[in-house]
Amino acid sequence: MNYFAFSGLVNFIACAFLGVFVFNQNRKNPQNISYFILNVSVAVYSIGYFLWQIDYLGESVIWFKVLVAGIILINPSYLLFVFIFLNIIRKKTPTLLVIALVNIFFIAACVKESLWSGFVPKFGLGLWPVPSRLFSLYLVFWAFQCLYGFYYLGKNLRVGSHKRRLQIRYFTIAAFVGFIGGATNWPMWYGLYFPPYPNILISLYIAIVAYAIVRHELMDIEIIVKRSIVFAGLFFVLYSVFSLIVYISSLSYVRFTDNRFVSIIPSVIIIIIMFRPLEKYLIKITDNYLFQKRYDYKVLLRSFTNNLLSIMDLKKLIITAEEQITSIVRISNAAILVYDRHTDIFSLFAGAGDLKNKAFTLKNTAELWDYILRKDAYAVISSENKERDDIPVILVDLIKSLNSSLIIPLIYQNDVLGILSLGMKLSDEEYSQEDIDILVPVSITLSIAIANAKLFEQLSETQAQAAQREKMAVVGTLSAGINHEICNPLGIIRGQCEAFMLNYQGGFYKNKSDKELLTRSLEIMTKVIRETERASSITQKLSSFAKPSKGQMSASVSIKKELKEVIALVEHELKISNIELKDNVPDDLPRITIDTKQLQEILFNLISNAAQAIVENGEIEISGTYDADKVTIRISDNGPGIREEILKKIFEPFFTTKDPGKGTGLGLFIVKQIIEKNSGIITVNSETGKGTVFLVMFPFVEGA
Amino acid sequence: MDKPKILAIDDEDNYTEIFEEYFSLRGYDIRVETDPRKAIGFIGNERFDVILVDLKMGGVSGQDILKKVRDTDDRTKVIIITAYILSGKSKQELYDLGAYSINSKPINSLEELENTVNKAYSGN
Repeated sequence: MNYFAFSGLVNFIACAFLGVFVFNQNRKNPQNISYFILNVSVAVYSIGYFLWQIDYLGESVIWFKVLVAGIILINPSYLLFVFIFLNIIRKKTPTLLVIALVNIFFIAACVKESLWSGFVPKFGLGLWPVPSRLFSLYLVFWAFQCLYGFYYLGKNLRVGSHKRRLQIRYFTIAAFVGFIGGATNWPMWYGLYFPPYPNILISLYIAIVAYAIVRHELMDIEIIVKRSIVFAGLFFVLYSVFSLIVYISSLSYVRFTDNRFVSIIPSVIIIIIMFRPLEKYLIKITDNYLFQKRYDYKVLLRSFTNNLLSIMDLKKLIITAEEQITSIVRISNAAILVYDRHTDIFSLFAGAGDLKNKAFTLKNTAELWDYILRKDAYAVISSENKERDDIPVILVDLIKSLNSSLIIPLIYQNDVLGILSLGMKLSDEEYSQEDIDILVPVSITLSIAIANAKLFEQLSETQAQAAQREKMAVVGTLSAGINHEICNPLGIIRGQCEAFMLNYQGGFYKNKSDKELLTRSLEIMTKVIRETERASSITQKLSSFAKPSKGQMSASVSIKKELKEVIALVEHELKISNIELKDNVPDDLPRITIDTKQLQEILFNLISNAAQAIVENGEIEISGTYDADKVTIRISDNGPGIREEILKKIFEPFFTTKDPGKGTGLGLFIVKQIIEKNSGIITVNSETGKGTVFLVMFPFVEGA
Repeated sequence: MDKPKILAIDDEDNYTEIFEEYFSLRGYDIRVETDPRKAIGFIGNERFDVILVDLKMGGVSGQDILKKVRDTDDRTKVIIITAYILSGKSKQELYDLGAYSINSKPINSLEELENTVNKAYSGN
């Protein structure tokens, strides 16, 4: 077998396989049928070519007729396919019929051997025909048909969607390659020395079409079962290798052995060894390069369950979800609307490009929900659906504003949580049922995550409210000291002014000069101003402290500074009970990142606790230390201490050792929550009779 | 009518200053003390007719003063001046300990206070 025979055989196999494959994908689709016919023609040409070259049964002339019949059939079936492919078959049918008739005429001519006047061996490449004038006419007709097809393909190269244009482009290239391959045979007809090596390009035509099918869904074939592609490729490669080896060994078998079967053994061994690795390699390639357009739903599900479910901040959750969906599912845009039960409004939380900056909201959505619930949990919007009448206006508007291709409502336990809107896939594909089967559970996961985040928000609010109540209750215990701190200054102000007035009016200043009186007045005014500042300072501190904290972290907070504020609030109370408060916090204690208000609350609570434990006559000391990664605040008192069995429970909510009505017992529980919310830790140590030490640790970053 | 000898105890010297000037200008014999511990000390040794005292001064409370007075000389009248808002029960306790009257800070009027001092002294 020479090279040309080989090329014919390879072409035959490739065409036959692809033709049958495409036909199998959809036996009723005219496109698939016409492609099958085209490939059958090319296969006929190829097998004829092969048999002619090997002079099978010595009947190379007959095989040559088969070959030519194939050539003649190729062009009309090519045109048929092109017209169907480009959707212009209807208006082209008359033309096509005429062309078909002409071709039938030429086939008859072929059968009758009118296309040539005989056969001669040419250039050692086998028997080639001597063309007749009729053949030259055919050649012109042949070229005309080619160009006719290319003309229409060229016209449509820029028409249609992105995917469509790619499909047309690929087929055009493939057809061009195939025709060039076949056309290199013509020179030999006319006695020009040009060994038609490019004949094998016809297989390249097949390869290009196959690639376009898999990568760009040429002929709307979705490659779902990739095994068939893998094994087809495998088979093809192996067969080629086998053929090559048989060919080579057939040249040398003469030297080694007479037995043809023995000479095949090396090939068989190679195939057995290569099979597995080749299979794996092909699967890997197909996975990586040919199926990129398919999103890995496992990645999507994993990302959702692992990452999203642990995000408790609602806004961050929604934004992350939208980003994940857009990138993993490979879509052009997505949007998530979240429903607020109190206002009955859906607000855009993430996505939709520049719509996000406007306040996009959706109101009066009862109709929308009716529609969605009737349609059983999701709504697919394809281009056909857009024209349907029963879609509520609000949904149509939503689709338009958000550029939706698919809308999935987010529902959890009969509660409406929001809407997930997905745009077009980047590959221009429509959403299939398989997509929806994956995306619906994903949206349920999202709904759960949203419900979680909302619950967490509510919980935080409840906690915050409890903390605030607790704070106010404790602040109430300061009333004595604070009152004292306000009333004393007021008393002094009033007293100083009144005394001066009464003394002056009573004539007691008769002997004082004006200058002395003026000096005295100025002294009094200075005292008044100072006492006013004293009183307003304490009222300011108190009202600032009493406000609920917003939970905003500030970087670079000085513990010493916040402690001073707290001491200003409590010192008067402590003084009255004769409790000494020692501030031994070093000035160089590193700053931490924390909510300043909450830090004050923590210190305030712990100092109040210590004071209440001591009752009277004692000492509270606050100091601080730090090491490589944390700052430790130490609050110690020399009160009665806490018994071991109680020590275990003091951080429990509602645990209190005070008399009923004298404390909610929430204090330390809330203190612990606040500390932990600020990434800190609290520990306690106590010895009855000696006192108690609380240690509060916060992380800090060097240079923060 | 002679004037009572007064002792004013308050840990704020801005207050004691007021009393000292006001009463001494009007001919009272007044002594002021800002350290309640010292005051407790000389209450036993010196006799006063009227004592003006703040309630919670840290270390020594008004109650301690009352008790000291009761133990040493129960003719001395004690007038309490306090910024504290006292409950009925606490007030009763103070009266039981011998307080003559309980005034609040800021002092409503120095003149009123003077009246109270004189009334206390004259035994009304």
